[in-house]
Amino acid sequence: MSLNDYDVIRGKMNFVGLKNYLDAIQDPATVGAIPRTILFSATVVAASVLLGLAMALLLNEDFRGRSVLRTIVLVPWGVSEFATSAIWRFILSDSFGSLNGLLYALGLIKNYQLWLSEQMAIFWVAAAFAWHFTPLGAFFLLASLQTIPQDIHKAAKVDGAGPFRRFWNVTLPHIRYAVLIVLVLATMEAFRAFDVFYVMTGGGPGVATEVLTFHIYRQEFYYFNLGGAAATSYILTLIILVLAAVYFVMLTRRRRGR
Amino acid sequence: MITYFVALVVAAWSIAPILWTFVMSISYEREIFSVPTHWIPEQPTSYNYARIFGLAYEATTVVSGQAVQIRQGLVNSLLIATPVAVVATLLASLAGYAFGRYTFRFKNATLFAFLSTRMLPPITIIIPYYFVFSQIRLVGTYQSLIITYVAAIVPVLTWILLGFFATLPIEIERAARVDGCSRLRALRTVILPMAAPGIAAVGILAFCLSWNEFLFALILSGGTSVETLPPVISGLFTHAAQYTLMSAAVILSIIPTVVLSLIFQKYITQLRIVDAVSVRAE
Repeated sequence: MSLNDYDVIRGKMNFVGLKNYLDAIQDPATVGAIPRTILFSATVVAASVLLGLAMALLLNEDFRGRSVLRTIVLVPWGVSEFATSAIWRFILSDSFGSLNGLLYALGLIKNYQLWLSEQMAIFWVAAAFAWHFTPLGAFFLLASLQTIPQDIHKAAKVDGAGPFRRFWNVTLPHIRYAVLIVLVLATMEAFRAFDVFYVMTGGGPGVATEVLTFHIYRQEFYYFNLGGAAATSYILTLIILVLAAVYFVMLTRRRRGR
Repeated sequence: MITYFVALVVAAWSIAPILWTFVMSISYEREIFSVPTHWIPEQPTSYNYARIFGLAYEATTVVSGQAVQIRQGLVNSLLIATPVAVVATLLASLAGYAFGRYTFRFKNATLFAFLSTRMLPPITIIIPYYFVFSQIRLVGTYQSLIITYVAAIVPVLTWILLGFFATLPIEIERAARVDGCSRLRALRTVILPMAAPGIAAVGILAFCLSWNEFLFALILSGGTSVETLPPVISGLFTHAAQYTLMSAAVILSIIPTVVLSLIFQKYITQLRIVDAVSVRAE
């Protein structure tokens, strides 16, 4: 589907060459959206990898009710991205939200807070997205954890290594590959995210949560700047492709190195 | 021990948000604004669900309109997700069989093309989609979404199925061919029974993907009579709807997918048992 023809100016197809791309790059709104996108993605990736690793390590242990926990952990992934945003919007509400309710009941706050504020909104949206995405990462890491033979752990224990040492020197090298895959997946999904932004904050307050995907949406359906939206779309796709290429190179290099 | 405590925290983190939404959906609107929060509603009710299913009397017409909208959204989502699941599974099974068993020209190129469709943010494709559909005047019909979803989902499903078909034993198929079956007959009588769990799992996945889809549903069906459930609910946010009603709608929208994904999980583990020699036993 060639988007070249869509250098549109309001109902008429005029060919304006690269003007849309130049406009897009110079537009402060577009440029402003980039750091927000990066911030969002970084938060999502960090949270997903850390939480996912914690979950995977936990699920790797043998204990009663492990299979029940497995099913429970998978539930947030079964909830759609859009439902996730609705659910978290209910939780974070400043008039009836359960987060406020919980903190108030614990005596930690006196008044209900506005969580989706200009400074904090993007982190909460990232939290909601991470809540939805983490199970997938956790299961990848779990699968990889389960391929580590028990004997290595036992040998390390015999040699006197404590739990942290064991994790750092024994577990981590074996799962490096899986961690990288989860990083790639998380980054890609975070860059593509749209539903969370639309339902949770509508890009706001103001433009506080306007990331690249939402910016494209606004360009197209709010300002009817179809050409500009198409140009920004291409830029976004290019960024994702570059990221994918970078990760791909990193992956194959690592593989050959081992 | 620490393990159990951490397990509890993890379970709470995963389930609590959904539980809270459920609590909201069985409360009356005025009760959710109480401070301190009523974790278990003092007046639990099925009023919200009753309204959505048309079984309760409405106090105001504005709210009743929203309940009807939700009901219509449910129906529309169902009417779209089911045909998509059937058609997409059919196409993906045939394609998966072909890709999994045979090599042919452009195979790798096509596979890569399939994979790259998943990498694109949907926003980038939405523009020409809307353009094309409005030109052929299919905006606001069931067909537009069905076509879109089938086209979007089949690549992913094919990827999953081709790996699955490739692992099916080829000797049985060869035996059937030797015994005189045509290729199609062999496919029908031999391969399909073996592939049934994989195909079922893929069908469930197709249903879930179209049920949960938001952006294309918003653009292609938002505001029309075929609006599916996700855009309906998000529209309610801006129309100052009753939050209890909305949470009931959200619960209704996640029940099918959560239930189906749990069933899906069982199929996946069943499939895994076949080649799970290296995976530690549960």
